[in-house]
Amino acid sequence: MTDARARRPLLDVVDLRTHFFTDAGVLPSVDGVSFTIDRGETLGIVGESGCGKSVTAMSILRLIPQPPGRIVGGQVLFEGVDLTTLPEPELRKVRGNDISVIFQEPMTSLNPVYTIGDQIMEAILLHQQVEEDTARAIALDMLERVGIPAAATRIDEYPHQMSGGMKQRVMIAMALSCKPKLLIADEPTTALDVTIQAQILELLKELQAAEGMGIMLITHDLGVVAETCDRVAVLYAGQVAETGATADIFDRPTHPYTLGLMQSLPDRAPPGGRLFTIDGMVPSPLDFPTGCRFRTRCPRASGTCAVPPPLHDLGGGHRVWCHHPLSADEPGELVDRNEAVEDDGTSPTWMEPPRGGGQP
Amino acid sequence: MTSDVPVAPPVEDPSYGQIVWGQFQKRRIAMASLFGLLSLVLVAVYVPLFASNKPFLWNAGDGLSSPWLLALFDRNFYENQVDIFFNTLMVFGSLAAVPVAVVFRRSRTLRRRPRQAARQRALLAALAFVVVAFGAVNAAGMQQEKTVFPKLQAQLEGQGQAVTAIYPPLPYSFRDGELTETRLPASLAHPLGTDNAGRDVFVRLLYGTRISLTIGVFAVALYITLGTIIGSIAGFYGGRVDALIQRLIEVVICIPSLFLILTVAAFIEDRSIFHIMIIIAAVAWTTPARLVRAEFLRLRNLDFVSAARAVGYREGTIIFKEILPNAIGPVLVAATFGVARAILIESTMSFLGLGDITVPSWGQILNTGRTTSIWTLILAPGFAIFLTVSLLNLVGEGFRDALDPKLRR
Amino acid sequence: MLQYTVKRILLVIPTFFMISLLIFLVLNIAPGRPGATGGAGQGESQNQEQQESYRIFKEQFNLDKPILVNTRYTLDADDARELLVTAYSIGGQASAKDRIAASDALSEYGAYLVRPLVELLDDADPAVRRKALDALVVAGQQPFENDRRGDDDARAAARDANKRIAAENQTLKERRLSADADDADIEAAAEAWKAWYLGHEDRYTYTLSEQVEIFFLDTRFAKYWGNLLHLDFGVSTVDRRPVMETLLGKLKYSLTLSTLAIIIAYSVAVPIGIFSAVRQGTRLDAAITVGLFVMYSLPTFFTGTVLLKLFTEGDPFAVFPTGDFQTMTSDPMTTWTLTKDIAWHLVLPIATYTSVALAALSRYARSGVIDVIRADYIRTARAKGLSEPVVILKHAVRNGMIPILTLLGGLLPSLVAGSVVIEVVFNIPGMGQYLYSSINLRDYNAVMAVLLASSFLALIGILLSDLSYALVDPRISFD
Repeated sequence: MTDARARRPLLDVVDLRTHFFTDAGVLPSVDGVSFTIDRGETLGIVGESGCGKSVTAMSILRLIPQPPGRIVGGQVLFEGVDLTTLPEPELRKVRGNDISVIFQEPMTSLNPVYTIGDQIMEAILLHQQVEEDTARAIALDMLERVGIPAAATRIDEYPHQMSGGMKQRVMIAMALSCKPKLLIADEPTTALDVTIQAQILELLKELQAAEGMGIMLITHDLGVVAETCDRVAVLYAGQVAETGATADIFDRPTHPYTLGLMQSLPDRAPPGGRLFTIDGMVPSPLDFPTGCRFRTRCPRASGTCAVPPPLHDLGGGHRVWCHHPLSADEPGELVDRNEAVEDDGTSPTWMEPPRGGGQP
Repeated sequence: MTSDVPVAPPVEDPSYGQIVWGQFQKRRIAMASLFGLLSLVLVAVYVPLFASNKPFLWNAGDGLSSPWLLALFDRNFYENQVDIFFNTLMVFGSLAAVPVAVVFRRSRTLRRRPRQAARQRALLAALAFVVVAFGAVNAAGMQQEKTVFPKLQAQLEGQGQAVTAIYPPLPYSFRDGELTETRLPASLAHPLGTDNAGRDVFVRLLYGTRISLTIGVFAVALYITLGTIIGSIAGFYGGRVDALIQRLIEVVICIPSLFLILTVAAFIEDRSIFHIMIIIAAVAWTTPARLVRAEFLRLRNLDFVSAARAVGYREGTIIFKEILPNAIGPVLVAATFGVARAILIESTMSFLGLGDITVPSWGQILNTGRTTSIWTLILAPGFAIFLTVSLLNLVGEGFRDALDPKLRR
Repeated sequence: MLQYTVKRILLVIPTFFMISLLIFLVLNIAPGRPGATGGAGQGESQNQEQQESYRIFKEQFNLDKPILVNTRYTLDADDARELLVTAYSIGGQASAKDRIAASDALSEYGAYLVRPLVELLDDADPAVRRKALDALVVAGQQPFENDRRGDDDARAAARDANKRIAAENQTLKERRLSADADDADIEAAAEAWKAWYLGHEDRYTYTLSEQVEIFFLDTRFAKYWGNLLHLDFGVSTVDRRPVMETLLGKLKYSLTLSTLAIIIAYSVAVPIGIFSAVRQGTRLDAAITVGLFVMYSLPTFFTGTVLLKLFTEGDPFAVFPTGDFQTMTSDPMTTWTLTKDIAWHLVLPIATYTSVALAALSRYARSGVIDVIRADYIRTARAKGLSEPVVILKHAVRNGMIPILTLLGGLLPSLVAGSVVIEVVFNIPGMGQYLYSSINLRDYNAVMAVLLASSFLALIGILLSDLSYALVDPRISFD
C-alpha cells in the first residue's frame, strides 16, 4: 500500500478535456491532455499562444470561468483524489493550500485596494489554524525569503506602490505561504524584464529545493525550460504533441512541431542569419483540423494524418503522438535555413520531406 | 475580357460606420427600439392624417373643397410654428422622399465614395427643399376664419341642407374642446376619453409627440453643437484655456440644473418651446463638452495627429478632419441619451406649469390629470413619456455597446 | 491626504464664488422686472406715489445699482441732460420704451446725478431746468442704512443715522415744486439747490480711490456678497421677512427627504447590483435588469402622481396621507408618535424620490461588479481557496463600488433639483416648493438664496464624495 502510494505521482492528469461553449460554437481548448508531475519535480508545459497551456493549468483547480468554460472529460488526480469531481468546499481546501498558482500578470493579479500583507495573510489565516500575529509573522518571513528588501515596511504597502518584479515576488510569497505540494506557475516571468526573469526562476528553484514541492511551469520560452525543467510536455492545439525528459526533448526532438519550436530559438540561428519561423498560425479552436492538428502546418504531413496520430513510446518516458515522427537515427534533420530561404522562400523547407512510408 | 461582362459590386472593407452599424443591427432590442422611434417620428409627421376636425373633403352644396389641406398652413388653426413645420415636413418632405429613394436605389451598385456622394447630395437637396418650403409657408402666413366644421355640418343639416364631409378617423382638434363633452370616459369615439375642457385626450397625446420630439432633437442639436465647440477648444488648446473651461464646467455642474431651468423659464414672459430648448441647451452643454475634451486629450498625442502636423496641415484642419470624426461616436451616444433627458426636462417643466402653455405637451396633460384626478390624463401621457424615453435609452445603449470594441459580436 | 483635503476644501471657495456670479448674472439678465407682480407697476402712467414706492423698493433690494461694475461716477451734465430730454420727451418724440428706460435711469442713478443736475440748473432751456429741479428732489435723497445687522449698539447707531437721513430727505421732498410754479419760483428753487449743493459738495465729488471703490463695490453683486458674508440673504420681496430664516425652516424637510432617499437608494441598489452581477445571464438577472430599466425611464412626476392618486384617493388603497410632512394638529405628540407620523407621511415621497436614483445606482453597481469579476485578482482570490461569498464581498465589491461612490457627486445636484417635483406633488413645504412658489412670485432674493444654498449643498456633497473616493481607493495619489 505504501509502495503504491509512493509510486503514484503527485499529480496525474488523465485525458483532460476543457471546452468553452460560446455563441460562436464550442471551443475544444483542451482536448485530451495527459501528463504527470512527481514530488520535487518540475514539469515544463510549452507551446505557442493559444495552445491551451493556461486553460490546462486553470482546469486543474477548476478556475476556468464557468460559463462559458466547462471540464467535459478526463481526470485530475491529485494524490489519488480526482479534483474534477471533488465537492467545492473540499476543493477550496486544496486551493492555495496543497496547490498554489502564480499567474502570468503580476500587475493585475493583486487586488489594488488591499495591502500586500493583507492579501498574503488571507490565505494563511484561511488554511492554517493560526492567530493574526502568527500569520503576519509567516507573511513577513515569506516576503523576506522571496527577497523583498525592507519587507517589514513593504508588507503594509499597496500593490500600486511596487514594481512588476516585486509584485511577482509577492505573488510567489503568497503562493508559497501555505507550503503547497504543487505550484502551478503560469508564465511567471513573461511580463517581467530579462534580469528579473532570471532572479524569479532562480528563486523558484531555491524554494523548490527547500520545500520539495512539484512545479508545473507553463511557458513559451524554451530557454527557461532548458534551465529549470526536469521534464517537458509540448502542447499543440489543445493536445500533447510530445513529452519526455528535458534532455531527450532538446537532444532528440521527435515531433515535427517540437523540432520547429527548437529551430525557432534565436540562439540556434546563425549569426546574422534569419530567425526561423513555423509557417502559418495556430488554428482557431473553432476549426481545428481533424486527425493530427498540426498537419495544416506540417511539412511532413501526408494523407494518413487526417486520422488521429498514434502514440510512439520511445522509452524513458519520451512519448510522441505523430504519424511521421523524426526517427532517432535521422541526424540531418536540420537543413541550412539560409540557403533554403534563398532558394525558395515560399515553401516550408525547414525539414526534409518524409521519405517513404515505414516508420519505426 | 470584354467590358460587357457584368461586374459584381466590388468587395470593400467595411468602413468604421458600417462596422458600428453592423454591430448595432445584431442587437435585437436596440433595433426594435430604433424602429419604434421611427414609428413615433412617423406619427409625429403624419398625425393630421389621423386627427383633425377639418374634413379632407367638404361639400355643402357650394362646390368641393378641402379644408384639411388649407388648414395645414393656417396660422389661426395651427398656431404653433412646430405644427406648421411638421405639416411642411408631411407635405413637402413626402414629396422630396420620392427622388431620394430613387437615388438611393440607383446608387446601390456604386463604389463607396461615389455612392456616399450621390446619397449625400440627394439628402441635402431634399433638406434644402423642405427648408425652402418651410420658409415659403412662413412667408405666406396664411390666415383663415375659424370654422368648426362638425358644428357647421350639424347646423346645416339641421336646416335640411345636404352636406358631404369626409373627416380623419379622429375628427377633433387638439386645442378646441367641446364644452358639452367634458370628462367623458374612454369610448369608441374617444379612445382615451376627453379632458376637463372637452378635448379628446388621444388626439392631444398624438400632437404632443411633435412637441416632445422637437424639443428633444433641437435642444440636443443645439447643446451638442455648443458643447462640441467648447470641448474642442478646451481639448485642442489645453493649458489655460482648458483650465478656464474646466472651471466653468465644474461651476455649471454644481448648480442643480432643474432649479436653474425652472427659474429662468419662470422669468421669461410668453415663453415658447424655443425658449425652452435654449434654456435646456444652456444648462446641458457640459456633457458633450467634457466628452469631446476627453477625446481630444486622448487623441491629440496619438501618432496620426503628429503625422498630420508633420505633413503641415493647419490646426483647424487637424481638429475638424482628423480628431473630431473620432470623437463623434461617444457624442452621438450622449446625444441619444440627451434627447431622452431633454424630453424628461420639458415634460417636468410643463408639468410644473412652466412650459409653453399653448401646446399640448405631455407634461401639461399629466398636470391636468393631477389636478382633476382623471386617470387617463395621468396614465396616458405618463406612458407616452415612458415609452419615448425608454426607446431612446435602449437605442442609446445599443449604440454605446456597438461602439465598444470589447463587446463586438 | 491632509494636504489634498485642505486643497480640495479651499477650492470650494472660488467655485462657490463663480457659482454665485453665474446665478447672479442669470437672474439679473433674465427678462422681467422684479417686484413687478408685487403691486408697484411700471411706466410713466403711474402716479408719483407709486413711482416713489417702486424707487424705494428697488433701493431696498439694491436693484437700483448696476449689476457687476459701476461707472456712474463719470456721469456729467450732458448725460443728465440727455436723460431728462428723453424721459420727458422735451422738444421731441422719444419712443415710449426709451422714455421708460430714461426715467428708470433717472430714479436709479441717485446721488451720482446730483452734481450733473446742479450744473444743469444753468441750462439754457427752461424746460430742462424745470425737470432738473424735479429730478434733484429724487436724486438728493439718501438711502437708508441697514439696521438689521450687527450688535445692539450698531443697530441703534444705524437707526439714529436713519432718523437723520429721513429728516433730511423730508426737507428735500418739501422742495418739490408744484405743477403751477412760475419762473420766479423756479429761479428761487434753483438758487436754493445750488446753495445746498455747495454745503454738501464733497459728498458728490469722488476721489480716485472712491471711484475705484464705487466701480467694484457699489454694485448689486458686491452688495449681495457683502450681505452673504454676514449670512444675510436679504429679505423676501413678498413677505418682507429675512429669507435666511424661511430657508432654514424649509431646509430641514428637504434634507430629511434627500438624505433618507440617498441612504435608502444606496443600501438597496448595491445589494441588487451585486446580486444581479453574480447571477449575470440568468433569468432573474434579466428580470431585474428590465425592472430597473423601467424604473429608470419613468419620470418622477409621473411615478409621484400615480402613487399619490393610487394610495391616497383610490378606494381600495387609500392608506397614506395626501401629502404634507406631518399631520397638522395642535395636539402635542410624543417624539415616537411624531416620528411615526412623519415616517407615514414620507413613505410615498421617499419611494418616488428613491426610484430613479435607485435604478441608476443599481445599473452602475451591476456593471461595476461585472467589470471587476473578470479581473485577474478575483482569480487570485479564488485560487487562494476563498469561498465565493468572500471572493465577491471582500474582493469584488470594494473595487466595483468605487465608480458608484463617484456617482454620488453627480447624483447630488440632480437629487436636490428633483426635490422640486416631489415637494410640489406631495405638498411638502421644503426648499423645492419654496423655490417653486418664489419663482412664480418673482421673489428674487428667495430664488437667489435657494439656488445658492442648493448649489452649496451640492458642492459640499461633491467634495465629500471626492474625499471618500480618495479614502476607498489607495491608488488615488494626493499630490
